[in-house]
Amino acid sequence: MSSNNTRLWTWHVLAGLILVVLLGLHMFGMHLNDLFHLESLNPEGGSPIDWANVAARAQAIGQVVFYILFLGFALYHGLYGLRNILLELNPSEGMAKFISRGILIAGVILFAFGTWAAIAARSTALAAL
Amino acid sequence: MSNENEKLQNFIFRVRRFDPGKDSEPYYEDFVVPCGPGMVVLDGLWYIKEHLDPTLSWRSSCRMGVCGSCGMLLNGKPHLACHTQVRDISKDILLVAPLPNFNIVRDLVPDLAPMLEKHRKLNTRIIREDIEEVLEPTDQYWQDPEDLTAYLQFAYCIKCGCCMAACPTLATDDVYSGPMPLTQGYRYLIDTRDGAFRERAKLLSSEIGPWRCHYAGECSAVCPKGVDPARAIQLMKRELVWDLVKLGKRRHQKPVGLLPKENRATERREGIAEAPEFTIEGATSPAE
Repeated sequence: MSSNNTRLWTWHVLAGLILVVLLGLHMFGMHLNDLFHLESLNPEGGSPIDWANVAARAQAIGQVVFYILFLGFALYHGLYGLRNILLELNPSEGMAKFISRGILIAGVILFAFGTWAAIAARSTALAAL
Repeated sequence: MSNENEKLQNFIFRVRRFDPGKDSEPYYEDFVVPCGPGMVVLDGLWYIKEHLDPTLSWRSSCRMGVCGSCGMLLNGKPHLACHTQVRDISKDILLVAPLPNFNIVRDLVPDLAPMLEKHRKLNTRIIREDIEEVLEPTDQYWQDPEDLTAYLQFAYCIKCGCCMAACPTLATDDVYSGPMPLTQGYRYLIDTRDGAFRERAKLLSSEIGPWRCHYAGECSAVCPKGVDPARAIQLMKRELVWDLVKLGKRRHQKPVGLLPKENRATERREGIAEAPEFTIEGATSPAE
């Protein structure tokens, strides 16, 4: 009942703003490549989802950091929104606590898995060199 | 000159009825009401009570949009019955129902107690740090005109509940305070005579604060006094976020008697009428 909603909401808004930037970069790199030809993101030419380009991006530490940040902010923004939707359905106090904790645990697990995936992908890409 | 009766037009008032002691569920009943130009819905309800069905119940008092008693759903939108002309919102059939998002006491009478309890929970009154001054006042709480202007619009609220009835969040969420209490919370949050910003910020940071408002804006669209609760709620969010990131204006209550008394007296400006003489023996002007 007394969670700091001012802090949670402020982070929700900040995460939304940061996502605009990160999602913008993702869109430029992945979907607007024909228009902008960002060679640093797709050094092997061709489609951004060609294995050679995916491996090249995965090797860069900046890309790993980018993926982890993207994942963290997207998870926070989305799961906070989901929590709000569920809490507005008028659950009992016990159920509201369960929802909040369940979403927190799900977020942490998904973030840990995503982070591991980004780091593991880099190791795989480096090993394939 | 045409006869006044010729201007009358029959309207069907389709009124939602419910007597919890008798009915298992609400139902609609039609009444034919002759309405002249300028006639408000409240007049129509009085006509029904006096001529057609004396058991019809609603709440009203001032008949001039001041007391906030007669909020009801008219053709699907919350309005004050005393403030809404029949011909402005209907051509023939007028749907009259109690305000949604409230329990119904009977017919058109909503139970406003939960709304007023939420209003009370947000400490909607001036709270001062100088308790001695509150108990034994020595002077006035001075306030600059711009400080007054910051909250004046929100002080026009008459607690009619129209905004609460229009709020889509409140339709499912009992915990959310709703537009009226939050607007009044903001009105005191920024009042420079108040000294409880920290306590208010902490209270508003809980689930009863403004965070579940999705800015549908319906509260502002239906407010009969132009209070704009949606604006107050967004300003409240901004105030609380700025305070959280330490970029907010430091808010402290202004001391009493901010100006020395000798500096307060000003010459009366031209065109401003003198106050009438006191008619009660022994009364004195507040300025003395």
